[in-house]
Amino acid sequence: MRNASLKQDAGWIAAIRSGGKGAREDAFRSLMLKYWKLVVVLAANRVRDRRDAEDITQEAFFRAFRSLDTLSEPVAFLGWLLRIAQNVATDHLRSRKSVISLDALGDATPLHGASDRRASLPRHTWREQDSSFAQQIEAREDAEEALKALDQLPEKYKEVVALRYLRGFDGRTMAKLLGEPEGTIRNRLFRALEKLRALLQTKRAHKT
Amino acid sequence: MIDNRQNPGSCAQVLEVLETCWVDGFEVHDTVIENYDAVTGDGTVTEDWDVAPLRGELHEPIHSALETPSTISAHLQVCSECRNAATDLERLHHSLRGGFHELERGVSLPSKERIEQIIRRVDDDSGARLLRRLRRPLRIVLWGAFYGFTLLLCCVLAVALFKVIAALGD
Repeated sequence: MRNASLKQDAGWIAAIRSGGKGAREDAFRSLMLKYWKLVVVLAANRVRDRRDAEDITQEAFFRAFRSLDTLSEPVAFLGWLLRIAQNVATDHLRSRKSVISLDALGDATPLHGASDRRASLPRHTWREQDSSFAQQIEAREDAEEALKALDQLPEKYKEVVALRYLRGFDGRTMAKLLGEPEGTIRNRLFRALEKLRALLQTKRAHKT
Repeated sequence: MIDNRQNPGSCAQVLEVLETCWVDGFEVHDTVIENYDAVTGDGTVTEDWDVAPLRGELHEPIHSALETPSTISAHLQVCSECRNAATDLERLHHSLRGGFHELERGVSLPSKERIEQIIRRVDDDSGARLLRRLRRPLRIVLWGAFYGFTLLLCCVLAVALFKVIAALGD
């Protein structure tokens, strides 16, 4: 299934390289629709602004399509696209650094929505709801905490965890599309897991 | 009351299984571990505990590389430390899944206009690149022709000058 997904990418790339105008445009569209959300989420995680993340994604797709001839392994398209998006995001952050403090930006436009939504409700409303709602709130808080912990990890760890959860890729598939040995990717996932667990345990210990 | 004599497998092994499950894709839903009765059948385990962390589809490599799920669940029945680890792992799994789902849900697919804009930019750029690619050889050819023509002109002038000088000499 996952390999089929990578082969599908390779098929679209072949259509872009050698197909007619219609097939080429369809392939462009298919690749964008397939990976747009993933790239936006990863970019937003980096720049902390969804609109900027969408612009970065657009630029990344443009650059990727423009230099598609240089991609030697079509199955590795996603990994290649993510690298390009990372570079675009880095350029973007560099250009903004002199204008605005990133910390302030992070506070101003938080990515994780759970606490915003909760904050938008009157306190008595969410306190007095039934237990399933309380559970939902708790689950959202947990999710938010986990994502915040993930934010503290280096970029390469975030990437593999995101690919695992957003696309359901296993180590082998990630290795193929990121062009790295499977052992390295698995090791990275293990380390990400260890770090996440440690961070969350520390947070929970502080709470109690 | 927990009888540790019934504790199969080591904590390290079980934690490794759980972590490997997480790394390789551990869906904590749908199916239920078989042989659950075998674990609790001897009556030594009195602690009531849900085997939710072990529900799910364990991937083939994990099956072969490690013990059967029932052995792991047997260990989890008697080892509270591993049980906590399993619960933590499951909680983390759910949190991340929920968190990423939430993030992804908040992102909309690109509009038709946006997609067309990108495709147009790529097409325009490929046209411009083709022109850029053609411009260099064209420039070389034109300069070559210019130099060749200049050289020819110089030769003609030199021959003419030579003839004039020769005529004057005569």
